[in-house]
Amino acid sequence: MLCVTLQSYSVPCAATSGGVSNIWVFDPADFNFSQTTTLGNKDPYAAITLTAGATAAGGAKMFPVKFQNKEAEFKFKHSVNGASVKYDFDIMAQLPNLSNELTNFLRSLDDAGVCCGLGIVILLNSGKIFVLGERNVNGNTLPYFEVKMDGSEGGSGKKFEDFNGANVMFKGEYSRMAYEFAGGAGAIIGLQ
Amino acid sequence: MSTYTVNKKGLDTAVGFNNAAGVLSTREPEWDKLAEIAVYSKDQTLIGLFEKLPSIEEWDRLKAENFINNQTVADATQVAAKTTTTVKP
Repeated sequence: MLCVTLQSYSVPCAATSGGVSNIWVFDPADFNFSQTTTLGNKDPYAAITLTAGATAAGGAKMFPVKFQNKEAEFKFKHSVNGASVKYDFDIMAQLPNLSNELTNFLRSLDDAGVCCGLGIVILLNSGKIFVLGERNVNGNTLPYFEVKMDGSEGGSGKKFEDFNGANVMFKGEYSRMAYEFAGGAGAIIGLQ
Repeated sequence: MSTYTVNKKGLDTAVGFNNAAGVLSTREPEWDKLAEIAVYSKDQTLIGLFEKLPSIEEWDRLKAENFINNQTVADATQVAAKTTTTVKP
C-alpha cells in the first residue's frame, strides 16, 4: 500500500465453461461505451450509444460473424519491457464455405484494418462479454486500440470431408486487458 | 426517481443497455437505469440525452430516501395485514 494498491482475486464459487458463443465486428468510430468507476476501479461497460453522426441506416451496426460451432477462440498474452506493458490479443474464427460473400467480408475487414481499425465484441460461453478495439468511452477518445485481420488462412481441402473455408484471424494489441460489457448480449443484438 | 427530464432531441437515439437496445422513446420504464449510468459515468454522450441530471451525491441521497420510503410503505402494509387477520374459531 505504501507503493501500490493491490487487489485480491477470488475464484467465483460457481462453475464456468470455455469457448466462444458469438462474435460481432463494428466500426470503432460509430459507438461510444459508458463506464462507471467504483472505489477507483473501472467497472464493466454498462451502456453503448451511437456517436454523433452515426446512424444505423448509414451502417453503424454490430455485424455478427457466423462461425462454425465450437471453432472460435479468444486468447491474450501479456508482456512487459521495463515499465512498458503490452497485451497481445488473438481471435480466431472458422468460417465455412469459400464464396463471394466470404471474399467481400474479408475485403471489408482489410479495408477496416487499413483505415479505421476494427471493433470486436465477443460473447463467451461463460456469458461474459468482452470488447476489443473500442475508441470512444464516456464521450472521450481512447488511445488507439489496434485490432485488425492479420494471418487468416483457408482453402478448399482435397476430399469431400475436408474443411472448405477460412480460418479468420484477428490480432490486436493494447496496454491493458479487454474490459467487459455488462449491458447484456441483448443490447448488442439489438444494434445488429 | 423523477429527478431528471429527458431531452426531447434524444428520444430517437438508440441506446444499448439492460440487455436490450432501442430508441429512448420506447424504453421509458428503463430511463431510471440509464439516468443512473449517466450520473455515475459522467459520460457526456449519455448526459446529453437528459436535460437535467442530479449530481452523484444528490442521486445517492434521493435513492436512499426512495428506498426508506418504499420500506416504510412495505412495513405499514405488513402491519395492516397482521392487524386485520381474523382468527377462525
